[in-house]
Amino acid sequence: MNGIETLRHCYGHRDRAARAWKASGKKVVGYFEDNVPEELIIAAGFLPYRLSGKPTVPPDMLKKYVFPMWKKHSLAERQVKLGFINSMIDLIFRGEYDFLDYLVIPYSRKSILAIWQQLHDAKVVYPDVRLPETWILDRAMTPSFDSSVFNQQRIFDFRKQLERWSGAAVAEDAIAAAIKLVNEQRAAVATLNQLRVEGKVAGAEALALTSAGKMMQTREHIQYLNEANAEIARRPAKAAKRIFLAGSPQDNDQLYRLIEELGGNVVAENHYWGAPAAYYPVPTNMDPISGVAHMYHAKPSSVVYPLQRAIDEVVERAVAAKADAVIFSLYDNDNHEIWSVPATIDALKVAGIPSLYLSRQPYLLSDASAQKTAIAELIGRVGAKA
Amino acid sequence: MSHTNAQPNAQPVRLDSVNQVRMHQRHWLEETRKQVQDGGHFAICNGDEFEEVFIAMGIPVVAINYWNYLVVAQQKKKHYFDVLNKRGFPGDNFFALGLASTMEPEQAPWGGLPKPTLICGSLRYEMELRVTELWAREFGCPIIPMDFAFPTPGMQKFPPDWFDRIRDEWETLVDPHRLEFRLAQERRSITYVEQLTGKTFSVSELERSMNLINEQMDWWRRARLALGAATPCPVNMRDQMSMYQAMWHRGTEAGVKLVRDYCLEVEDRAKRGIGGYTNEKLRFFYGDQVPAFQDWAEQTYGAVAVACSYSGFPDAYARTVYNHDPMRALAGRHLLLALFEGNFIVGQAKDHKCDAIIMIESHTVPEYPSTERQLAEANGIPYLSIPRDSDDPEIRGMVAKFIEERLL
Repeated sequence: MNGIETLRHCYGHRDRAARAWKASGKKVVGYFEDNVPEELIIAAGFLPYRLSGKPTVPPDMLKKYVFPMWKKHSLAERQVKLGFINSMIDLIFRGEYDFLDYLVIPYSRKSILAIWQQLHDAKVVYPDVRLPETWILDRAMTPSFDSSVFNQQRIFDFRKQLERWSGAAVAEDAIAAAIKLVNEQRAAVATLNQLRVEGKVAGAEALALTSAGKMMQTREHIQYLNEANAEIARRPAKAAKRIFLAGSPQDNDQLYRLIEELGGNVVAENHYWGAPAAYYPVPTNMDPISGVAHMYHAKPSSVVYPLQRAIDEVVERAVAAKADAVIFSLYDNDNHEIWSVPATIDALKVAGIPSLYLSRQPYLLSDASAQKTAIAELIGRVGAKA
Repeated sequence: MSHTNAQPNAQPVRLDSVNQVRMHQRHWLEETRKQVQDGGHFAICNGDEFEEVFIAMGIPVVAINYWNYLVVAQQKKKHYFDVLNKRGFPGDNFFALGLASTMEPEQAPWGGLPKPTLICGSLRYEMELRVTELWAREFGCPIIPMDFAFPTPGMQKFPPDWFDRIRDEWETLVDPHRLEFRLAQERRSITYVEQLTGKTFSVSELERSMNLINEQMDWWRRARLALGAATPCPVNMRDQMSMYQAMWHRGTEAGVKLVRDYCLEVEDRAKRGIGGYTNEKLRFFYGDQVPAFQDWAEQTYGAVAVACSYSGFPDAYARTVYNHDPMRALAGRHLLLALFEGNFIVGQAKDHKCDAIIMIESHTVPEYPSTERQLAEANGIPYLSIPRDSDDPEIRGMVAKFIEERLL
């Protein structure tokens, strides 16, 4: 298989590389979302592995392992309503992530943080259920001096925890080497991002090539992605309406394929399974551990504060991707994301970029007729304007 | 005091102390509005975040959820959901009702809130911070954000008797690094509020205020115990929840007086055997506030809610201040309330001599009963789960079947 085929295969069979790593006697550290510093996990000698969901699998395991134990109050129930998160929890209990030795639960949003208690409670009731050992990577979300110190301390703690898991010190030079490696990966993704802007690669394919980097050894990902980039660079640009995708994270390509089917192409997005995986390189002009802490603090979690930063990010990234239009796709119950959308649409208008807002979207796009109609209308509108 | 028992099926007369607190709240709102219109400072604050500091600094504060409930009480909920939908915010977002009432104040209580000096928002839930940011934009006022709050899932498990420890041993129940951070964030916010308003914060005043909160909670707990032990239950759920308005004055002499009067009235009614309902035969704990089906359940079966998810708050709010450091105790409380936990619910049900517990469980299925159900049944308390708080044929059917099969 060439680079593209290898990465697409990895994306389609998300556990293969991790199971192979595990079979070689080494350990895997799973994590949720996009703000766990892989550099430290690599420096400790583990394979970092980002968990994802499966929209086609109904999250039935939650009926047994989560809902009976979860707090019965509307305030708490908000935390078990997001399809893509429920799916990941479901897969853990199905045993699909049985290759994980350890699991890092970051405070990126409350529904993710709540997983720690959910796993703990399930273990109390079902002691035989096999779960990885967990660690919470806490964080302060709003910027301030205190937040900077708080987040730095959490990274120091995380390093200590990795040392406990590995039974050895995580040395500064190992961290420096891991930083160099992951920064190279970011650079390879940045190259792919540029090829996307040039119209040489479909969004669904680019999503697979980028996402695969969270499911395999970083060094291998860089090698295959560089190969893929070289091949893609030789392709002619393909004409399609250029779409920037904003909103909820997409751990699958359903929406990308739908947009492509209708004559559009996702040339960039605002979730970290895609183009933003190139962002926030770790600075190398300071102590390695301080550099990681700096990146951890600078890179926002799911909560981008203040609001204006969230608005500006979408507009700047859409402009940089030369997008013809922006599609906001927000999952049902992703109640945090909805509040920035109207102001962002207004800001995009000022920048001359039309948009489409797909609200309350299901995690599984089984009947996508309404989405098709809306996207086709947007693409028609952009086409007419062009 | 009014002690007249109403005729069956008529609404019982409200407690004098409840009418007092309602009147006090109306008066307070009116006075605050006048002060603000005359250029006085006031703050809008997310609930359980920073109100005590504003109160200790003499800055009137409107708690966001209180204001939202006021919008609901004036039957404007649907109108303001429509306002939000029209502006591109889909769904029914209760927390944003206040924001909507500022966007289009014509139908709002007071004709809308005047511009506050500042808004204190928080990451109680991610969306709440965003809503408060938008609200501050709408007003053109600053916002101070708080990161960790009591609904932030904790990083440790509570012992089953946490509610007996929370007042004195609170520091052992919160995550130490979050406590230090929250303290720093609140101290920084105090400095900002001082600069913004020209008012001076006094730690002595805050300590006095925290002690008043404890006194208020002691009266409330005493009222709760008297209420729970009495048969019939001297206060119906509507009045119990109306008393919650005294929470908005916690840390003040007025707040203590309102709750002391309530406690004395509850004890008097208990002594005299005066019920809060007209037809009490079965008592239940309810996992929300006033059950939507309460009137029907009382009329049909004499089934009445005597305790609810909020009955235990006096136990959860009091905090012992150590070393003259009220900020530490307050920040600790801002990180921990934990009202909605199985052991606490069963304890409350026992305290209130409940025949049953009715909880809202929107996710559980019969094959895998909730831990709350298992705990309640193991304690000999029949347990019903309903999918929502509603008074419709399905819910009535479930409640009727449960009462007839398990309680009669």
